[in-house]
Amino acid sequence: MSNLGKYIAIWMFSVFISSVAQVMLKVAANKTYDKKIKEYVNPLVITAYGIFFLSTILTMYALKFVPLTMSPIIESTSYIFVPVLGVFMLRERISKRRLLGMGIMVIGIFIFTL
Amino acid sequence: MSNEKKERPKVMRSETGTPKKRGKLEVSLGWFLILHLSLIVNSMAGAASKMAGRQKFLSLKFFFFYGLVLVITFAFALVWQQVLKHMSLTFAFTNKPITMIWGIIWGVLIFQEKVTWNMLLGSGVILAGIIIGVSGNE
Repeated sequence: MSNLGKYIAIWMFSVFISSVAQVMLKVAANKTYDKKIKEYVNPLVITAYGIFFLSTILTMYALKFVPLTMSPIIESTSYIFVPVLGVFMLRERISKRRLLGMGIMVIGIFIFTL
Repeated sequence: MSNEKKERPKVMRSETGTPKKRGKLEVSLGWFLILHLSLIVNSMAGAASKMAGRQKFLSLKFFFFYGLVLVITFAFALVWQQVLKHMSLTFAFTNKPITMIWGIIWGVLIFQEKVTWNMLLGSGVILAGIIIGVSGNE
């Protein structure tokens, strides 16, 4: 059981670093560039995709030990990570209504996986 | 203390100057549709990934489907970066669970998977959450 917990933790870490990468993409998207290509070829975007790649490797590794049916539940933690990072790192405002919507979404994901 | 804080304007204005009220989308309909098209493409990566998982590891077919996952991911990445220019990350992310509903559709169409009642109920709740969250532009 504790072994399973370890691999779930690895998976959740993978979801967390993906959420950080999403924030990096948004930071890159907020900047203006003189050339279109630079919207994609810049350190932030390249690092973000490097993180996504690492994340897929970690997820695949975790999947060897964690049942796939748990995937939506573990992946749904991104709906907690992203708004938190959005508020603290991007200074995005989240209305109560949107928070409510996200909460309902997570409940929906749980029902889905039951 | 709270008096010192700036009051948030009740009506925000987008780049085009159109007044945006509470309950309305934070983006134009065009970008909202592009966001959803990109999420449909993104959900197809899940189907391709499942196909890859069904093949023998490191076989030719495995590389084909894993390659397909990468191509879809790359196409999604190109569009996603443009999408993020036009909306907040939290708004874009509020729409993301729609990919689970598309996943059911691909599951039924491609893999003849059975749809259970909790999947249908869950989808309904997810959809309600998306609608509430997306319209929450306060």
